[in-house]
Amino acid sequence: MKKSIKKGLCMVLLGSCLLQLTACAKTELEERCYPLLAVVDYDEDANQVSFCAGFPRADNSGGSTGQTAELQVSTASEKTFETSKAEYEKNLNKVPDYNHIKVLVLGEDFVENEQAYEDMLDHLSLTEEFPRNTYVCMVEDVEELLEIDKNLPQDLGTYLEEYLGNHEEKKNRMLTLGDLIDEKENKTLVLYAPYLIPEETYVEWGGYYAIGAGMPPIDFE
Amino acid sequence: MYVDNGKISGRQTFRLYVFDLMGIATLLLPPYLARLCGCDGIWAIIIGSGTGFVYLLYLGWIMKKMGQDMLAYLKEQKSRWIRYPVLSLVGIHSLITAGFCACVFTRLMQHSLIREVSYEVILLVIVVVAAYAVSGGLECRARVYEVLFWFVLIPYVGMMLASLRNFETAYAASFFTAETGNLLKGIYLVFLLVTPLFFSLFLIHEKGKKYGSMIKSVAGALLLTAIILLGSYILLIGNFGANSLKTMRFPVVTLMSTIQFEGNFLKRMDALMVAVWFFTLFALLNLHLHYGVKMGRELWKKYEKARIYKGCTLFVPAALVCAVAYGMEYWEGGLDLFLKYYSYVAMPLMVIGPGLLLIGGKKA
Repeated sequence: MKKSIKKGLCMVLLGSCLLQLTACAKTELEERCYPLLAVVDYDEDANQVSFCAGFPRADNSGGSTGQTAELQVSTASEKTFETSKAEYEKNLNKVPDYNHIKVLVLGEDFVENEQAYEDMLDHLSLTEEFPRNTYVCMVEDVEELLEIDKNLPQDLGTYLEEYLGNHEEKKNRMLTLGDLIDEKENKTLVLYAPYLIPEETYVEWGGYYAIGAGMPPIDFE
Repeated sequence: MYVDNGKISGRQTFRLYVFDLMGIATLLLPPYLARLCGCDGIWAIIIGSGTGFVYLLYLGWIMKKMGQDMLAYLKEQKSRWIRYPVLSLVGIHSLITAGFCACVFTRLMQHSLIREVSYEVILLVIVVVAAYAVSGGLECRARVYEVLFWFVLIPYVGMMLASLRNFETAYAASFFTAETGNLLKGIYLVFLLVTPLFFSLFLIHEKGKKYGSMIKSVAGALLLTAIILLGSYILLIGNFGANSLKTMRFPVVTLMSTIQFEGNFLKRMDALMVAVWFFTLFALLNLHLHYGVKMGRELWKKYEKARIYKGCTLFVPAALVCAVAYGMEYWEGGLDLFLKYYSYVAMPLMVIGPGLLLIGGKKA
């Protein structure tokens, strides 16, 4: 009898220790927001990197993210990707969880600035905040792209994910953030980033932007 | 109920050793090999595993000479002036290595699943669960791993095959470029990770019988681990490239997170796949904690009748494992010191030691 009580106490103690592992994090789900899109650009005149995120809309949030807030926070601009992202996060009312990011949009000026571009990849490779499967695409002017968000039937992140997924071929998969991070180190392949042209209510396929041997840019198709 | 006599079957030995060897090898080895040898890491794996087989043959020869397991041999053939230092050395080594396993295990859990939970909490839970598993005995763990074997191995191989889709041949095309010195270091590193084979000397078998089948089981486990490691390394090189691979922390876990199935099926497969290293690292931690506890119990056997004997000889080693893992995390240079210890002290002792035990110092 005594033995079984001891065993029972041990199991309760062990179980309560294991309970520590059941919660994913200290931050509650309700205190988080889940961006689906990240947009990065570079302003040559101000010598600043800009960052902003796109969130699911309240009306189409019943999917896997479970997010209901429609957040409108203006773009943050700072010296580096890391600082502008931190500045952007300060203005949010919730803690961003980038694990659900679908698409990373890079401005052409940003990719052409080798230092800013490599700083971003270094930061993302180190922190592993964004999933490596995140699609990457490019636009000439990110402001134009953000403008069309209100004219779309769904949020921009989901729209771009579906759009890029639709252009993906079995033999030629779409460029991802993981490819950019790997190629920055390997300097072996030429990568082709989808180049999009924003129109009023949709985006148009503009071909590919070549990022070669880890040193952007080489060619534009 | 099962018989608690420390004996396990050949199949259980095979499966237990696959778990012991493959976890840490697939998790930690690829970035180091990529740094040293690039694509030539595959030669390091092949030659390193080959030396592992030579080491196993040597252990088999020692087992044959001893005619029984190491503990029984020490007890029956050696004086206490030899037995006690040997038991102490094996015990201390087991606990230090268990501390390393616990440290890697905790870091993996924190990195891949529960980032915001503190290192200490995860470590404590892992070591308490490991101590509980050790208290169940070797047979109990062997039976659990016997059942888990295919549940772990089939998804792992499946995921690895699925990663072929992203294989970039340009990344896996530069062979015979590594310097000879670095290649030798790579071979040594692979050999270091197969040294848990040393503990096969402690597997209990009937006097003069069955040691051959046991060696065959361990050799089978080594062969399967070498094949898994080789396949994983080639796929990692082809997916990430050698230069990117060497900057990664747990590349094989990252690889799992990049594999996607058609139709958005099982979105967080990577989280599920962490279970592979959960069980394999847990097995290695248990192996070392088991022998740490066993050596401690042999050393303090005269207190066997004391009421707190079993509890003390289980929780004191577990606390030491916690302390070692804590030190490795927070003391700068702790992990480097462990690697130096393992490379220059433990490994040579595990190779030369058993041979030295065969000569001299016989019991009066």
